[in-house]
Amino acid sequence: MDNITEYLPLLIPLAVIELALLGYSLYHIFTHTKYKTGSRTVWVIVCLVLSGFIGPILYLALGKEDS
Amino acid sequence: MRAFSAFLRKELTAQKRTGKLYILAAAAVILGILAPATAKLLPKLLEAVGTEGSGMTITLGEVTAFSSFQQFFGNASMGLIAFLAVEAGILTGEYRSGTLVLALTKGLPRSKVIAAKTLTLVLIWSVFWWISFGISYGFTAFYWSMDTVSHPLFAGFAYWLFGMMMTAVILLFSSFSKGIGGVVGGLAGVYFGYSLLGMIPKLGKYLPVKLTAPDALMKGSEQIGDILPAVIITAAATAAALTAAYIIFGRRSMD
Repeated sequence: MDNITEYLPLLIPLAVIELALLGYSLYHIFTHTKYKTGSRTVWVIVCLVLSGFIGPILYLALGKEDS
Repeated sequence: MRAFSAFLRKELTAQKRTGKLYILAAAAVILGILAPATAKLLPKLLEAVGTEGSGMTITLGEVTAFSSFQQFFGNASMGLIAFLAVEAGILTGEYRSGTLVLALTKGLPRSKVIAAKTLTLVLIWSVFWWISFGISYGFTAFYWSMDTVSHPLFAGFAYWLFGMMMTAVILLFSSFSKGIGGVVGGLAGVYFGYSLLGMIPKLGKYLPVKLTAPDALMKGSEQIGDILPAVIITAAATAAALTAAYIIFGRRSMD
């Protein structure tokens, strides 16, 4: 890692969006009790384990109730 | 025309209010950044892991624009799956909630419903794909020389077309399935069907799945002409699936 600044244009947006997605998904999971499929425990585990972005997207696509 | 544009507006508003647009926008940006980031960082990471103590040395080919695009098209299926998972219920969700019957009994023609749904999906997939591709292209061109990759734009177009075909498959299976299960099953069935057919060597170059693996094209060992049969067949399959969806949806019972 000689000069980290070279990587910042890639890393900063990636980190911001991934953390935002994770934060929003977890917020949504804990403020709701009913999901399209699965349960709270399942979705928290999925979001944290696949926290890159696959977990939150899976939750938002398949777990989040459309209201 | 007024009925169509009103229903199209309703569709786009629904996409926004259910948050689907935002989910897909985030996924598109991540997908776009991920490929150049991986191409840039992976050699550094392997270097750090490989040299510490173990005495193992890892030799890697030089990272070029080609590696970045290769990474992008390798990840692209995740983006397509995210799009399909988010949008698979576009019609069956309305069968379940019964909201479509209301509009239809008020005299909205079925052809306009399916046309508006089609246009919505086409718009969303196109914007999703080209944002993602554009970000990846921009970063790649910024970090590396583009000389090492040939026809990246055509490769992008080919994958977009494949996504269009899968979009048509959503509409086709939605036109006769009762629930989202039928649609997801249909998507998986079509994909695995093509993959199985792809095992027959002579058939491979004519199949739509050919469009999802543009490595040879970008390396220059294949030309656009070699991809063209698959492009034409995919476009024809898309048109056929949409026509069938249109006809079947017009005749199905709504209960």
